Amino acid sequence: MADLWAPASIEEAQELLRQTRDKDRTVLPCGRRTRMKRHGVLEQPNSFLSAENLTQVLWFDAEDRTCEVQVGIDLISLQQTLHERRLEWGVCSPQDQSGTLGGLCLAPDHSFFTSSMGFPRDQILGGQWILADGTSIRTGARVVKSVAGYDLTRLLLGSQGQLAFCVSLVLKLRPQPPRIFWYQFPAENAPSLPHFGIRHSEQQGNLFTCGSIERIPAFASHEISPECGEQSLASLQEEFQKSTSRVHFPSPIPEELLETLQADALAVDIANHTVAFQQESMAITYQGKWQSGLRIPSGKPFPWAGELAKSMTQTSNTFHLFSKRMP
Amino acid sequence: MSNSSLLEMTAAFDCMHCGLCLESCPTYRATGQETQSPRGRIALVRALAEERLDYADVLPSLNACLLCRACEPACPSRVDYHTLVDEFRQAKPAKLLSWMKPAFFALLRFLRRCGVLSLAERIGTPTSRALAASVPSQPTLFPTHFTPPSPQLPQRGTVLLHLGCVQKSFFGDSLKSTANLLAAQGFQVEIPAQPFCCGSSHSHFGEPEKGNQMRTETVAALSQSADAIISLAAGCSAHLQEQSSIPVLDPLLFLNQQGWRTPPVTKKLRAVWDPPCQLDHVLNQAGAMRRALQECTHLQILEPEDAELCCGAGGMSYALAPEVSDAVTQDKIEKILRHKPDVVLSTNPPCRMRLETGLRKAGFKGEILHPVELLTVFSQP
Amino acid sequence: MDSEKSTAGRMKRKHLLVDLKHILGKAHVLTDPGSLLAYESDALTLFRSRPSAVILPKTETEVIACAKRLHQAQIPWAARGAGTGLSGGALVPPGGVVMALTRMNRILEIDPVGMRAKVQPGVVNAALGRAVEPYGLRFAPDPASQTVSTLGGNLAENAGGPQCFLHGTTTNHVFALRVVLPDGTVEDWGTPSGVQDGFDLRGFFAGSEGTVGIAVSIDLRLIPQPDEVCTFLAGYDSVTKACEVVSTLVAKGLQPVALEVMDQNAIRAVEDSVFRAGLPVDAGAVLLVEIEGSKDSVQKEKEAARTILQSFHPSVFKQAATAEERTQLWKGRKGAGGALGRLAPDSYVMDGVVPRSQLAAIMTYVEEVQKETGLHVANLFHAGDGNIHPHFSYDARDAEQCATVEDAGARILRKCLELGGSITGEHGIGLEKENLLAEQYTSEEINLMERVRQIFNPDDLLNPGKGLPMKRGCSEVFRRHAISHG
Repeated sequence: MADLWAPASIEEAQELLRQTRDKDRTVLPCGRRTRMKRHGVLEQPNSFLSAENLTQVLWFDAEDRTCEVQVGIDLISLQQTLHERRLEWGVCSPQDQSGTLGGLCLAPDHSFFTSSMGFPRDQILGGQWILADGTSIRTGARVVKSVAGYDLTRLLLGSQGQLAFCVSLVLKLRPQPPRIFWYQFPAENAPSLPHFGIRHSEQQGNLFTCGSIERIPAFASHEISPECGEQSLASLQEEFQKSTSRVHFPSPIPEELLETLQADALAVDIANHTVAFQQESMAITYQGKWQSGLRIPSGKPFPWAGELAKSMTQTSNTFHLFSKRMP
Repeated sequence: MSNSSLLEMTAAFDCMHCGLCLESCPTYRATGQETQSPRGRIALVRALAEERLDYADVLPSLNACLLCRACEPACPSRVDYHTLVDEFRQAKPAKLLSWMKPAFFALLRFLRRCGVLSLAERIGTPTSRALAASVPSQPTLFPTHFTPPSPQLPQRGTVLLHLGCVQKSFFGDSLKSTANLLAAQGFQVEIPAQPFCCGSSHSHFGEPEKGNQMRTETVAALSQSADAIISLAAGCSAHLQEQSSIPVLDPLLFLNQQGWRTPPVTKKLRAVWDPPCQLDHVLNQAGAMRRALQECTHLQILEPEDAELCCGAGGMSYALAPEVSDAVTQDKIEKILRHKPDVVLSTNPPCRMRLETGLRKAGFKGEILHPVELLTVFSQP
Repeated sequence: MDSEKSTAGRMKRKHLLVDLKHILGKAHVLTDPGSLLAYESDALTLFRSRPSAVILPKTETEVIACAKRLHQAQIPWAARGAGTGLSGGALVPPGGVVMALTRMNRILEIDPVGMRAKVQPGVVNAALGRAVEPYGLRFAPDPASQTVSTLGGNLAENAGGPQCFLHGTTTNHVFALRVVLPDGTVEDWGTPSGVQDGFDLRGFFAGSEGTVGIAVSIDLRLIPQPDEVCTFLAGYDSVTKACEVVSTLVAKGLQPVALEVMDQNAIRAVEDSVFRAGLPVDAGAVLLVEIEGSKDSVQKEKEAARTILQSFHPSVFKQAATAEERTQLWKGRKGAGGALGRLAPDSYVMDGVVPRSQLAAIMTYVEEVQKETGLHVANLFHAGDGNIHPHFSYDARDAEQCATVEDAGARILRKCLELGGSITGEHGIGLEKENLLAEQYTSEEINLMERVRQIFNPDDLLNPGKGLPMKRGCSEVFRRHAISHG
C-alpha cells in the first residue's frame, strides 16, 4: 500500500523529497485525488505526495488583480475568497468543483470560459515548484506580462506531475462578472442544434460558431438572476443537471438564433454564450469542427517526457503521471 | 559623391531601423530580402559612407529601387528617402540616359518592326531582354507636323499638350486621340515646340542637374497662358509639376474637373487600372483619377490587390535590375489577372510597356491601353 | 597547422554553400557583402553581427533540408522574420547563417467556423488580420510593428501590444505548431483545438526567442470582431497622474481592451510626424482607453470609465467620434516609437513590467533617472499591463552617451524587479538583458532553463547566445554599435 504524504509546508515537502532521493522510489504528486478515484491509477507509486494541506492564499494584490495561492485550495473556496473582493479567477472547471486548483491546472486543462477567457493556462502567470531532488524553483513572474527566460510555467502546467510538484500558482484575476441569466426552453429536436452555427454563418454572412462542447458539471457557484422568468433557482439547477451536453459559443448568441434555440435547447446561458441540451451525440458528430470538452489523459507516454524529467530532476526517483485511466 | 557628404546626408535621414517601411516596398514584397527594402538600402548607403562597404557592394540593391516612393508615407521618422537614392545615383549615372535621343527610339521602332527585338526578348542578357521588352509590339510615332482639330464651339479654354519622349516615340496614337478628344470637348489644343525629353529619368538616375535643366527648358516651352498642360505620362507630370505654375494633368483628370460636355460612350468591359506610383505617391491623384475613370467610362474600374505597389517598371529600373523587377512584375500580373480583365489600363508609358510584357507572357489576349484610347477605340458612334 | 585548419574551414563553408544553393536555388542564398550587411542587425541597432550567408527557404521541406545540412556542418544559425525585433534576437555570431522566413508567407487555411487559421511563419501579422476580416474575425495580438512583423517572429518573442491587456499575448492565441528542431527533425506541438494533452511544449516554444526550433506552420486562434468599440482620449497634467487613473481603472474592475499612456515628449513626436493624430501637445500625458464588446456591455463600461477618467480632472477629454478618428489615434500610438527617431540619430526602447499598482512609483523613478542623466526620455507604454517603454534618444557615435543609456536602462529594470515586476514584458531577453536575467531568477532556475534548452538544442547552434546568459562568456562576439563607430 502506498504512503500518503500531505505536507503542510513547502519545507516539509522538500524534506520528504530529499529523503526519498536516490532511494529509487516513485512519488506521485496529487491533490485530493478526486480524479484518481474516478479513473484509477495506472501504476501504484511508492508514495502519494498530496498538496491538500497547502491551502493558503499567499498574497493578494487587488489593485493589480493578481494573487498567489497554494494549490491545495479547492476551486469553490478559491472563488469564494475572490468574490469577497469582487474578483474572480476566469476558470470554471467541467471537473468536480471540490477538486484542488493543482489538480485542475496540472491535468489537461479545460474551462467553460475557454472561448471568452482562454484556457486555464492563460490565467496563470507563474508559480512555485519543487523538483524531485527537493530544489524549490519559481517560474514566470507575478506581473501579467513577462517574457523573461523560458516559459517553464506552461511547460510544467499540464505535465500531470511528471516533472515537478506544484506548490503555488500566481493567478491573473478578472472582475467578478455581473449576474448570469439562465433561460429555459423545451428540449425537443436537440440533435439538429449544431447545424445552426454553420447554417447561420452561411446565410447571414455573420459569423456564429460553437467553440467547444462540454459536459455539465455538478454545478458552479454563480449568482442566478431573479429575472430568469418563472423558473426558480432550484428548478433551473435541476434542469442543468439533467442535461448532458452543453455548447459553448465564443461570441454572443445572436437574437435570431435565440429564437431557433427555443425549439431545441434545454437552456441557454446568454452571458456566457452557453447552450445546454440533452443529447451527447451532437458532440461526437461535430468532433471535426468542435472539440470534445472532457479529455482524459490517454496514458500514452509523451515523447519528450523521459528527457524532460531527467533534465528536471537529475535524480533517479521519478515523478509519475498524475492520473491515468486504467487500461 | 564623397563619403563625408554621404555620411552627413544619411545621418540626417533619421532612419531608426524600425522597419515599418518594409511592407510598402514592392521589391521587398517580391523577394523577401532585407537588401531589397528601403531600410536595407539606407543601411547600405550608411555603411558605404562609414567605409564598411564598397560602392560595388551597394550598387545592385540601390539599382533595384523602383523609386515608387510608397515607403515615404509609411515612415514615422519622415526619412526623405527618394533624395537619398537620387543623390546616391549621382556617383554613377545610368548609361541609358545618354541614349534617350529621338534617333535611338527610331532605331528601336525599326528593330521591333523587323523582328530583331522579339528575338532579343527570347535570347540575350537579362538587361537586353528587359530593354527589348520595353518596346511595345506596335509602336506608333507621333507625327512631327500634326495639326490638332479645331475645338467644338463654343470654345471652353486652351490646353498645352506635352508630348514626352517615350510617349511620342511609341504611343503616338494615344496623343492623337487625346488631341481629338480635347478638341471635341471644346478645348483649343496647342502643341508648342518642346524639348524631346523632360529630364525626369535624368533626375532619378544620376544626372539631377541635367534633369533639372531639361525640365526648365520644357516648362519654358510650355509656359503660354493655358488652363493646363496635358500629359499622358504620370512620371513626366510629377516631374514637370514640381516647377510648372500651370497644373500638369492627365487628359481624363482634366476633363473630369472641367465637366464632360458630351459624355463619352464605352462598351461594357471588365477594365483593370493599375495606378502609376508617381500619380499615387507623388501627385496624390490616384483617388481623383479613379473617380474620373469611373465617371467617364461608366465602367466599374477594378484595381489589383495591393494596387499601391509598383508594377516593376520604376522608370528605367527594370533595365538596371531585371531580375528583381521581373519578380515584382510577376506579382502584379497575377493580381491583375485575378480580375479576369478584358482590358488593362495604365496612365504612364513605362508602366504600360512593363504590364504589356508581363501580361503577354502570361497569355493575356486583351488590350493594354491608356484610358483615352478606350474612349476612342471602343466608342460607339 | 592553423592555416590547414582555416583552409579546411573554408572548404567546409564552400561545400555548405554549394549544398544550400542546391536546396534553395542560387537566388535564395545570399553571400554578397551588401546583402550580408543588410542582415547585420534587427530593430535594436545597439548590436551588429554580419552573418556569413543568408538563406531564404520557401517551403517546409526546404527548411528541414537546410536545418539538416547546417546541423551537419555544425554552423550556428538563427531564423529571422521581418527583423523588427527589439532585442537582437535575429542576429547570429560571425560565421553564422541567417534563415530569413519572409518568403514563407502563405496563409494555409482559414477555418471561420473553428475560428482558427493555419499560417506559415513569414505571414505578416496585419496581413492575417486583413484576410480574416471578411469572416468577422481578427487576430488579437497587435504589436506596434504589426503592419510589417511576421507571425513567426511574434510567436518566437511572444509579442504583446495594446490589445493584449484584455486578450493576452501571442502565447494565448496559438493552438498548435509544427516545429523543425535544430537537427532537422519535425515535431507537432499542441493540438488544433488548443486543448493541451500532455506537456505544453507549445507554450514553452512561445517566447523561446528562436532557440528551440523553427515553427514552419502555426495554428492560431482567431476571435470575433467586437460589436462595438469606444475609444476615449484623456489628457492629464502629468504621467504620474495618468498612471494613477490607470491603477484606479484596473482596481475598480473595469475591463477595457487597451489602456495606453503617452507622455508629452511622445505626444509631440507623434504630432510632428506623418501619424499626426490630433493629440493635445500641451498635456503632460494622454491616456487612451479602448472598450469593446456587445452594445450593452460597452455602454455600461463606457459610462463607468467616463466617470473615473473625469474624476481626475483631465485637461482634454474626448471620445473618438468616427472609425477614422479611432484608427488615426492608434496609428499615432503605434507610430510613436518610430516618430521619436527624428529627435536624435539613435533611439533605445526599454521594456520592463511592474504590477499595475506600482505604475506611478516606477514612472517617478524613470523621471528621477532622466533628471540625473540629462537624457531625453519619452514614455509610451501599455499601462494596462504595467508594461513600460521609456524611449531614450541618444547618439550612438558618442561612447559615453551609450554607456549612460545602458546604465540608465539597467537601473530602471532593477527598479522594476524591486517593485515585483519583470525585466521584459514583450521584447525578450535577446542579447541585451541576459545579465539582468540572473537578477530575476536564481542560478538554479536559470540552470534548469539551460538544461531544458539542451534537450532541444543540445549544441547551442540554433540562435546561440539569446535568451539565457551565454555559457562561454562570448557575448562580445556580437559587436556593439558604439564600437563599430570607433
